[in-house]
Amino acid sequence: MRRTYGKNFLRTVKDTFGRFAAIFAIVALGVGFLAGLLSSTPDMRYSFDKYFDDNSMYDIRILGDLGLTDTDIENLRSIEGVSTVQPGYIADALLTSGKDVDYTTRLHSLNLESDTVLNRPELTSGRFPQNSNECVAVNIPLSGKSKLHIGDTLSVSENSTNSDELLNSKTFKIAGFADYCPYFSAEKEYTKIGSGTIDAFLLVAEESFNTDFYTDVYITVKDAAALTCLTDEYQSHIDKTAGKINSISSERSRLRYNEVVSDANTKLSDAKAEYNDAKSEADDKLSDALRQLQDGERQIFSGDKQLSDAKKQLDENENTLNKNERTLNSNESDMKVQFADADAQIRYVQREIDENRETANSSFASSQSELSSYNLDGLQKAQFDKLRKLPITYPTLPNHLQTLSDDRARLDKIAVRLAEISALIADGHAEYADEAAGLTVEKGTLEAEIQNITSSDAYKAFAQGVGYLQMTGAYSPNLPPLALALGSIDAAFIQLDEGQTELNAQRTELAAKKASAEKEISGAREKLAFGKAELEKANSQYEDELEKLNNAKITLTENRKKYDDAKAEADSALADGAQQISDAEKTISKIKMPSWHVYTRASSISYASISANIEKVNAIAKIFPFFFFVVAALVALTTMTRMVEDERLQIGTMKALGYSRNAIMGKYILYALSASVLGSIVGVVGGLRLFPAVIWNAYTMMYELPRFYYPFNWVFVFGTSGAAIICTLLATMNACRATLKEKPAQLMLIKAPEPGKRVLLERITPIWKRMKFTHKVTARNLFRYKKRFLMTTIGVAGCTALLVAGFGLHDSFSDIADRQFSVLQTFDIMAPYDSEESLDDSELQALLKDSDNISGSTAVNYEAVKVSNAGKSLEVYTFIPENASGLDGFVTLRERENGKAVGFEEDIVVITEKASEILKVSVGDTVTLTSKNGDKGTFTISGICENYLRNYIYMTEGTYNAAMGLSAPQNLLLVRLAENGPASKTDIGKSLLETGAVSGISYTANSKDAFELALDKIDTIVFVIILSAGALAFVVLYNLTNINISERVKEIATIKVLGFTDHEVNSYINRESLLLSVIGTVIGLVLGIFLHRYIVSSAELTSMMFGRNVKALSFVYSAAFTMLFSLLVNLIMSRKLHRISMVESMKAPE
Amino acid sequence: MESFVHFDNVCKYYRTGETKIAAADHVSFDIEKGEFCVIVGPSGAGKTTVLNILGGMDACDEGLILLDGQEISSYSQRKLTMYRRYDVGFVFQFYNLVQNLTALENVELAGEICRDPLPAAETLAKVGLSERLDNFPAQLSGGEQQRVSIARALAKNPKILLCDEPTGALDYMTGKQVLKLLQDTCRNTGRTVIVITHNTAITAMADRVIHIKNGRVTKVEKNENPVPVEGIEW
Repeated sequence: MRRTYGKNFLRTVKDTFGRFAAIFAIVALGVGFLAGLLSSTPDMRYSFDKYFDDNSMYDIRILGDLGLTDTDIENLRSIEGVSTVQPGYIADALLTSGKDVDYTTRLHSLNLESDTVLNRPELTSGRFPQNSNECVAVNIPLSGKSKLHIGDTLSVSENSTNSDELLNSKTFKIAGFADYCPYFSAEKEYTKIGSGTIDAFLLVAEESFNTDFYTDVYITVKDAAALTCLTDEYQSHIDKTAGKINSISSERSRLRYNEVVSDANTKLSDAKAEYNDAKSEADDKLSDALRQLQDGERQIFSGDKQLSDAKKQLDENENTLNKNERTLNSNESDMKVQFADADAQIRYVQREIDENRETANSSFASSQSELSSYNLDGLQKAQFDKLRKLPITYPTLPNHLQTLSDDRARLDKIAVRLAEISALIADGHAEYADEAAGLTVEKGTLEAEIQNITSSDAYKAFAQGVGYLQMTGAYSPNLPPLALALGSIDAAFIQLDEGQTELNAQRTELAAKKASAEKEISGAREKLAFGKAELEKANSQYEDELEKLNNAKITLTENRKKYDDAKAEADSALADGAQQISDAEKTISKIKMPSWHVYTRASSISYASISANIEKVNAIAKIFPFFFFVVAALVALTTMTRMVEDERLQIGTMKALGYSRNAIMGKYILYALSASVLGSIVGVVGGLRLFPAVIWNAYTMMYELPRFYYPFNWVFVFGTSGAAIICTLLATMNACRATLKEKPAQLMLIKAPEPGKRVLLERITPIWKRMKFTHKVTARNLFRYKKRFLMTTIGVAGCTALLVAGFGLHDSFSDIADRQFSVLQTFDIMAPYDSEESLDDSELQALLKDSDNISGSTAVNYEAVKVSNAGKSLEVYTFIPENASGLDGFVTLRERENGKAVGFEEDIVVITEKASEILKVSVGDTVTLTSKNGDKGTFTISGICENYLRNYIYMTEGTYNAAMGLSAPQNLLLVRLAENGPASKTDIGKSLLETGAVSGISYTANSKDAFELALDKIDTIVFVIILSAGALAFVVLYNLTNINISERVKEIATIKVLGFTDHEVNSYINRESLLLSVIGTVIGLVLGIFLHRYIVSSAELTSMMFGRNVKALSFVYSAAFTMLFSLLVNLIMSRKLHRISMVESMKAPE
Repeated sequence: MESFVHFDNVCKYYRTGETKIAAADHVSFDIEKGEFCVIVGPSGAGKTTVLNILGGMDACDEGLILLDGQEISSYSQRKLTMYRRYDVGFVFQFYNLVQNLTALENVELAGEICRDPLPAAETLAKVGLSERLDNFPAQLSGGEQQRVSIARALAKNPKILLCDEPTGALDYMTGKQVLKLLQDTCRNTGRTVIVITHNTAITAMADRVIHIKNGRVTKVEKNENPVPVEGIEW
């Protein structure tokens, strides 16, 4: 290269450094972005593949339902394609840390001795376990649970099931931490114990396990290491060998089944014999004891009877005694009363006698004295005494004499009266007649009585005596009565003496009687007392007997209890034994024909997760950068084109000077080449390092990432930089060729300025007239310089569209996790179960009805089926409730566009939107559904619903049944938790698992978290995209504005000369570029919608739909960013404007 | 009485590396108000430097410049802009019309920014373009464009009219017409017109001729009998 030529080139670069830098930057951005994003997924795959290969990660893993034996291992080794087989042990256990934190843990046996160790752990701290009570914890990004540390001891928790049999050790001390290639994701593996997901992985020595069969077998496949994992190529290579393993698995499993069942049966029959022995022994002992007890009971019964008889007798005796006593007492008192009465009678009589005697004595004395007064001589006295003796002979005499005297007195009175009344009567007073008659009668009676008396012996004797007395001459009228009175007294004395004598006899008799009675009573009393004493004695004897009996009874009760206890004990022991035996029988009968579960890496959550995420990254990273690159290339090539056209004068001059075409062209080619090559180098170097690393590092939180490698990918490097360089060069050459076609003279002539044109706006005179000239210029300029207009608007529009697409991608991801798991699928726990009976488990039902924690549950048929239409087919999952209301509150079926609910009832078949797109079906179309077993049925789609993750088909069991002719038994339990229930979701999950009715648990929240986390990472890429689009937008705007200004230097200088202030100059120019930006932005916003739609539809995975709409705010952001950059560029450019010399205006037009 | 334009020992230096070149080396001259002045000199003599300084596009390094009593040489950038805006009308060699404005609009553009502009259409009529008001520059011939350019300068109602090689891009006849227009303007409106040219033939029509060479004023002639344009030939 000649010196001036070189100088000219360097000067051109220097003079147009802005342009050179812009091309450089645009190419660097475009190439870097494209190459960087394109190589990010290969780099990620490569890094993981290297990590896996370096640590000899398994290709295939086998878990046997009943474990695997050494023979199985030998058989596996002999399979063609199998390279290494490493048997080992695995157990899931609930471990508790010292701080009472439960860890649902998976323990793997650690094999370090063999030369070819698979899944080689890489210690990151500490050391490997040295005994069976140590472990190494696997590094996984822990979320939630407190971190484990070296020295922490984890012990097998008591409520850990099944691990007991598998583990020798019950505690594990953490000796170190290691990276372990099968597990590196924050997404958790599933288990059937504890909370249903694994919190920690521990590597322990093989001695820690206690099984005589292998539970976990790892296999590598020949030639697999050479393939890059996470690719279909790798997967299909592995699948071939996995298929071979599967082909021997059923035979091996059958053998294993026989072995296990026969072992178990032998053990069972031994146990049965033992049980029977124990049972008969226990029966014998118990029946002896029972017999003894019964004897005792019988004895007690008879004793009871005897005693009660005795008691009855005793009671009778006592009664008799009491009765006798009572009789005795009453007799005694009766007797006492009688005696007292008799006594009183006697005393009364005595007193009477005494009184009478007294009276008699006094009467006697007075009468005697009277008598004495009479001084009777002996004869007289004798005669008197004769009279005196009369009352003794005739006791009634005195009375009769009295009566006689009375009667005679009365008769006298009557005679008087009669005389009176007889006269009266005679006088005619008849009324006295009656009285006279009465008196006459009375007179008769009285006379009769007198007659009677006077005629009596006594009277005669009396009259005789009186007569005798009279004869003695001592007669006085008073003497007879006195004699009579004295005679009466004498009689009375006699009577009194008689009475006294009689009374005395009575007294004596009474005393004798009393004595005899008293004697009799005291005898009776004595007898009674004796009887009582006898009774007392008998009673105490009875009491003694009773006590004895009672003691015997207590002893018997105790013995009975002892017997009962012993019996119950024996019974329960036997029942336990029987239960164990029946359990064992059940267990044996339940032993299903085992199978091998042959897994490839893809079944590991970590591997599947990274695989899915790489796929997502790939989906995003493969489309967008191309558009980015296209925009960049477009700008670069137009920039070069403009440059060549701008320098036509120089080209003409050089051509005129005789430089060859190639020499002239060479300068521009060199310019374009150096800018684009430099840009490519910087872009490739930067892009290949930056973008993959940024994306890779986005996953730090989610995975224990291995070392990241950036293999130099020649295809991407040369593909992208080559495309960029060639684009720019072709554009340059094309422009040069067009320019060079013209003659030098033409070139050197001032190219006629493009004619001014009237723009549409001018036709609207009222507006046009009111516009300022500067505005008119702007308006005309915009449409006059078509190239500039197009170039700017396309450039700006491209960048805006990229921004819209970037922000739109963010929108597409931002809320689909939330929509999917909070709006569309509103259940919190999914629990698969094996058979319909499982759901009837009472414990499970009770749990589901605990409304404090669980607000609802439903069951659906959930299985992968193939749905096809016109040659397209897709795997979708069924969601088949028993009846139409089965999805209410668990799945929201609605249309995405308008949120309208999709009705769900019998004969309605609803398919998710993504599925409908892939199958190209709409409402009313029919699809064919093929079940796992190959059964087919035809369905008419009646609804399409919004859904983002996986593809589902919804219908009722009846609908399924009608079309398929078979039932769709529910096998998945959906549980919706109560808000703010007392138990946490993991507690509920644990409880569900503990019922044993469900075979697994998955939490919607975990899926949502994982999904959100993954989307969050995608968002990092989107962020990179937005940033890059922003950077591109800035560079493009700078470049375009720069070009626009360089092309108008003269015009700018002129208006400066005219006296425009800097500010006016700025607004004169900026108005135009801002307007161009606005137009470009508006076009870009529209383009962005299409770009976003295209990117989203290309990036979407089969099982994942993104949000389809760009949010309003994203348009605002995109527009704002573009305008912001535009303003920023203008701000930078105002300095350049300021520096434009007015001298430029003097120059000839170029 | 002070002259209208007064240059007193005005110097302008350009530095290229170590060397210092004086583009204007103690330039001194005076121009009276209403004069038609021609500054003449060969290429590179410093004419344009003088024009730039006089037109307020550049500042001098030394010396004093007065225009109508105002000391231009002490003006700040901002004041110089205002000076250009209100006091100077500039006619470019290549017309420098805004291609996207019609003739009328180009004139109005200038009028827009100054205090009491002359009516644009009237000004264009004065330069003989009343028929072409609505034509775009590209639709006009070179002479017509230059006339628009002059009209644009005049419409600002400036104190001085500075013309940089106004005929440089025009053919002979058209050039003459333009010069006539300038001279007529000077004569009819009494406006001071300064024409910068390398064409010495034009000096005959000037009231005052300032010769510049190597950055210095070599001679200032006062022409008592300027020749009408028609009488000039080159």
